Amino acid sequence: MLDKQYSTEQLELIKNKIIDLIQHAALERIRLHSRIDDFELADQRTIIPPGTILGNWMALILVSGDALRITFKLHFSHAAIRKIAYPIYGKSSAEELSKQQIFDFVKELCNLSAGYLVQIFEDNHLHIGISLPLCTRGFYELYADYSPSSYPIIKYSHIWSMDYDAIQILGSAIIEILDISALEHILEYEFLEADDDEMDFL
Amino acid sequence: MSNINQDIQASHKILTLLEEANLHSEYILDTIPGVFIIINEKFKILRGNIEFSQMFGIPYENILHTDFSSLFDKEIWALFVKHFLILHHDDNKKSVQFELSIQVQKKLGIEKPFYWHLTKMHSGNGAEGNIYTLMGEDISQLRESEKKLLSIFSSIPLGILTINEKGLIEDTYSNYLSCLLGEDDFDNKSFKEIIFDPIREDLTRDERKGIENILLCLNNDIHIFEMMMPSFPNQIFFYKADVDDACLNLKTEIEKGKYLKISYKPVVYEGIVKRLLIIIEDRSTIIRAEKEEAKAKEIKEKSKAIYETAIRDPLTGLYTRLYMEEAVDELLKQCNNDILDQVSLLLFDIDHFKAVNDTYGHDIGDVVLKEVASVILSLVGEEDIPIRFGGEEFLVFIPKEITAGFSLAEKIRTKVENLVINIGEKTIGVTISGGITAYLPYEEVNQFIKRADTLLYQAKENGRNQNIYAL
Repeated sequence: MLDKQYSTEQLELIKNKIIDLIQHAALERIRLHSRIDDFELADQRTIIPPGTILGNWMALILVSGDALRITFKLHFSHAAIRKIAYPIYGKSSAEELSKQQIFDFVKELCNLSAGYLVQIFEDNHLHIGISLPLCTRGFYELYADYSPSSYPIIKYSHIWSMDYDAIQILGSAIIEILDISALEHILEYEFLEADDDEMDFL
Repeated sequence: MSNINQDIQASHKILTLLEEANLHSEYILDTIPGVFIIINEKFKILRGNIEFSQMFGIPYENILHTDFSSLFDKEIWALFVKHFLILHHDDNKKSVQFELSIQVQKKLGIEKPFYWHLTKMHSGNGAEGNIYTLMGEDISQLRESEKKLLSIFSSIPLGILTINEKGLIEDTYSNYLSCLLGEDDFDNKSFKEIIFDPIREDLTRDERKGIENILLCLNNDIHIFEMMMPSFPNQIFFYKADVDDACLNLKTEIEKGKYLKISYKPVVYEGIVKRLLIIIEDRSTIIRAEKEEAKAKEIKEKSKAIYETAIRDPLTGLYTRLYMEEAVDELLKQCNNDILDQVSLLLFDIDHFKAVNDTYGHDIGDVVLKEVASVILSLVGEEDIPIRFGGEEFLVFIPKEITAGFSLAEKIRTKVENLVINIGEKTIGVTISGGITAYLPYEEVNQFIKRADTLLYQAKENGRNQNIYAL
């Protein structure tokens, strides 16, 4: 529940911190999963209106707990995933990757990102769970509800891109804060150096 | 594990099923026959199917946010936008359908006709503006079939055309139409002016009303068409008077005219007559042939009447000697050829006819001749040939043996004997005498008559009012 004692400034700090955490998890895990450390993240929220169809395909996962709900999505094209995923599957060229392998790769990326978020929130004594990752057409983004709200649930969204060598994967998140008081500790949370202990979340 | 985690885990199965179902429905959309795309109000493509991708040579992955207008030539795009705006600006309209040809492979310049269904969709979260689905059906094959059909139409001797809601000629489907109506350009011309104006003076009041009814039916309920169709002119004599020569030779123009049969078929959309398909048949040859036939029949009947006059004695109604030569000759031939077994001849003469003429005058003599002839006509059969041989002499050729001839002769004689002929306040009676004989094979008709005449003479000699027969 929204606690009235939080100032707008404090609220914004918490909201932005959550965005930072999501972006951090997404970037860390794409670097890890693709084995490409040169992926860079760019904030797209002022460039792309929320709800816009961002890719031919999208993979999504729900991160959900008593205090927080995040719908985490990755928007992609087959071509982009082929280029970064074919070495992972031991293929010699991007074209050799099957559609199923593309879907598996992105769904796993969602899973890893969401898992990383679970770890972060667990570190802050927030218990959350994750759903199965799903993959569908990017067109359905049209029906996602991005409308913001501030009471009783604080709801907002964010869009970012992860770029490497003309490859772009877009990420979006709809964040719903159900209990802000449970989240105030995350402001103190500091990101650790690159986490190599990814096996915990596989 | 928290309760929420347990719930999420429990939902995994359902989510997997939903994902599977979603993949299947997406596969159906991808493989749907024809072109299927979803566009936003800025004409950016949001979703396309495989056929669209293949048809326009756009890799499936590159479809998203492709500018739909970039796939068309300017002119075609302007037409598409025209239809699009009709739907876009009308809140009550859910969809529009239209036909539009597109270049499916620009480099090769291949253009194909498509029938499009443009439908409004729920706009979702609004980020893409209004959303529309566009389904295009390739109707190349249909058009090819139509072309083949049209080539058949254009070669058959019928004028086929359609008129639109305003009564203007929209399409013509046969080359013969130009030949039929002496007009080369029909496009957007008034059907009424082309067909009926040249013969306006010849049309009846009802036909003129019928022409007005044709126009009334257009863009109106089908029931009005059904009610009014019987009034439409369906048979006209069409000719075009040469303006330069109008007064000089109208007769020639009319000779060059055509008898046209006009059929009207409604093209109905949602109960409203949107067009009329009109079929014009040139029946000139048939009608002229019918007229020639009627004329020939009339001549034949006149000839027959003239012939009848020639072969019938106007006073008695019996055949004349002229007919005898023809008919009796045929009868005797049949006998000679064994087609007939026997032919008999009855020769009658009115007794004391000279005295009748002398006493009562020739007029009364004619009455007597008429009365006796009536008796003969009333008793002879259809195959018998009764002839006024001359004066008061009568012949009857019958295709029977002599006994039948004698029997008939006796009936005639008796009936004449019993005749009561009124002449003013008086009455007179007459008798006849007869000679009856049978035909001898290959005998000349004159010889045949002569033998009967000999027997008649004997009957006269024996006291008259009797018949004598002999072979």
